[in-house]
Amino acid sequence: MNFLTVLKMILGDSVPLPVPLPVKPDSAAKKPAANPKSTPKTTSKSTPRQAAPAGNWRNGIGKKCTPPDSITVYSPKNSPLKLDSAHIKASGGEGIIYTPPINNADILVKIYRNDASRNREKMHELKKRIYAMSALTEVKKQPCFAWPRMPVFDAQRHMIGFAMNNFNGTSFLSLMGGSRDFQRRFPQWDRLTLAQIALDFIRKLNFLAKHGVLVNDFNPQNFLVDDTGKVSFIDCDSFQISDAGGCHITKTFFPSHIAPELLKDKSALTQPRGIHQLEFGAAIIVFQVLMCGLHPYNYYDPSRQSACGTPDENLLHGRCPLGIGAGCRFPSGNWYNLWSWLTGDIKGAFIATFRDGHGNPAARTTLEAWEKHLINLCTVIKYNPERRTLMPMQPKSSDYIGNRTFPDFKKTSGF
Amino acid sequence: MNNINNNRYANLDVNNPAPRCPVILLLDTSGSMCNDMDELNAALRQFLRETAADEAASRSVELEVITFDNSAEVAMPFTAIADVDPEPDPLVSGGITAMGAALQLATEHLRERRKLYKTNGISSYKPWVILMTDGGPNDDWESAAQEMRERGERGDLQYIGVEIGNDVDHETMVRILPENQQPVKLKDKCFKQFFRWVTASISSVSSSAVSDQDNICFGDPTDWADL
Repeated sequence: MNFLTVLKMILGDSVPLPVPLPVKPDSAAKKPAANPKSTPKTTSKSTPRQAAPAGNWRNGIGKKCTPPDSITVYSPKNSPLKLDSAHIKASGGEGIIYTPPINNADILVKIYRNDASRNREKMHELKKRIYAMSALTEVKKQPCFAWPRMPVFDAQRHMIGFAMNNFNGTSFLSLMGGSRDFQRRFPQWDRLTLAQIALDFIRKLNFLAKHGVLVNDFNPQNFLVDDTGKVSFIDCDSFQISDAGGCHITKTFFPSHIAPELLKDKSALTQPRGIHQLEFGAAIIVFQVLMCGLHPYNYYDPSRQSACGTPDENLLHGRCPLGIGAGCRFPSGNWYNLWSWLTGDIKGAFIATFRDGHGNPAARTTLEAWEKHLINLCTVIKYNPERRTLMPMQPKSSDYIGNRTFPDFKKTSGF
Repeated sequence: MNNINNNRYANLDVNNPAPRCPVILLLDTSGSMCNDMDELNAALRQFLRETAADEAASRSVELEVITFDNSAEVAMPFTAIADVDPEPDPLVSGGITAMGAALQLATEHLRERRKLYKTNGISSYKPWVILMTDGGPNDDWESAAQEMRERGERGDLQYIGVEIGNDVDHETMVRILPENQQPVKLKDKCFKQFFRWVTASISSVSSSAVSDQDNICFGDPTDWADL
């Protein structure tokens, strides 16, 4: 029995994900906020960092991690699969991703680097996580998630990685280099496309949350967009999974995209995260997508003619430029113009999350509200083509009227 | 090398929101480098091409190239790597080694660049300064070297000193560089391996949050460094 046959027996075929996502409030769906009384199962999956002299370029000495020319891995049913260096699709600090030589398999195999895979405790936890993830059949079927399908083992039956759904596309970073860079990369796209991408992102995030899965690591490189504007999620083994046995947590985070209460108290990372923490990270990504990469805590003090700190520092201290009057406190550039042409409800949702919600998690905009506001934004842009531009020459004036003669206008709370 | 723009203040795209990673290459182009220039030029082209092609680095890296022989010259002022001509005119060797003047220029330009970031509300990573030489300074270098050495010792700078060949004034290089970032000898003409490592390193930096840059584990330099 070959590797692919085993995979299909275990998992069945992929079912394409319709848009919008078929999220139903069924009884099987788990609450996204984990039960704090359950014992968290920690997988110490983390961003690629290791103890080393702080920041010194020499800290890689002796840590050579050249992938082997070939490696044979085994399925749970002991079917072998040989992976060659020619099959490497991507390589990072934590592991190597291979495109296996199986026709039409549409899977990838991630193999952890030696230092991780030799950590038996970590691998034991990870194995439980992978099995828990592969039991989430509704999520696993969606090709937009690079979802683990099954663990893979070495010849000694030690888990060294896992097979997962294939992924394609360019990372969200490519949307976040400013207007000029965006138009150079995507000449056919405009702000409507960005709003649609943000909407697709929120819907998929919400789909996961409805199934008890919370994204922990909002590094923009963990989200991909294909050439049709469809979003997919990678690095899914870092997600927080809730199942009947409790909550599988990870401590993974991206420092500039995490709720401030977690940044202030890192010990909280050992506990399950809640939906309000997800809402905060999600709102940062939505802001950056709609604002061509600007970080919402990129704060500029005109009296000192200086940035007040890095976005990470400002996030920690709640220095947010939004909602404090015309011009706000954005850095130099066309940021205020870009901001002003967003709809009122979108601006209000950002302010609620980043100002009011900085110290009050319950004040953060919910995923359902984001979906509604983004649908409105798409509609308003469609009927008002002047809002499509990513290089507005002027801010939207207070007497701007625009075209309000579209079917759902009365339902939109902001214009 | 083609100058993109001689005004070193003009090349800042304030509509790019990415934190910047300023990189200065200080390249010895004295006469004794003549046997290494082909490899250096080829490696430099590779570096420009590969760094510009990297998704994260292309948004953050701003490069300045300073050459030093009879005098120090800005071959290319700070320019976003995505805007740099990947096929610049080759560098040419000749003359003595005005390394002190080059260090002085780099110190001033780095200071100005970081100020420019601040006044425009742009955050930045630690600067990277890469000093490559096959000899030693023929001019006054001690005061010129002081500020960057101190910044390196405080951990505010990634300072890489690369010694080319066997005739480097190693004792002086040791004094120029920070105590914790001592010079490294390049393996025989491994310029391309070195610059590939630099691309990978600054790509890792550009992919990180600014506050997380000290947690990055860089790649093993032994492909190019004779340690």
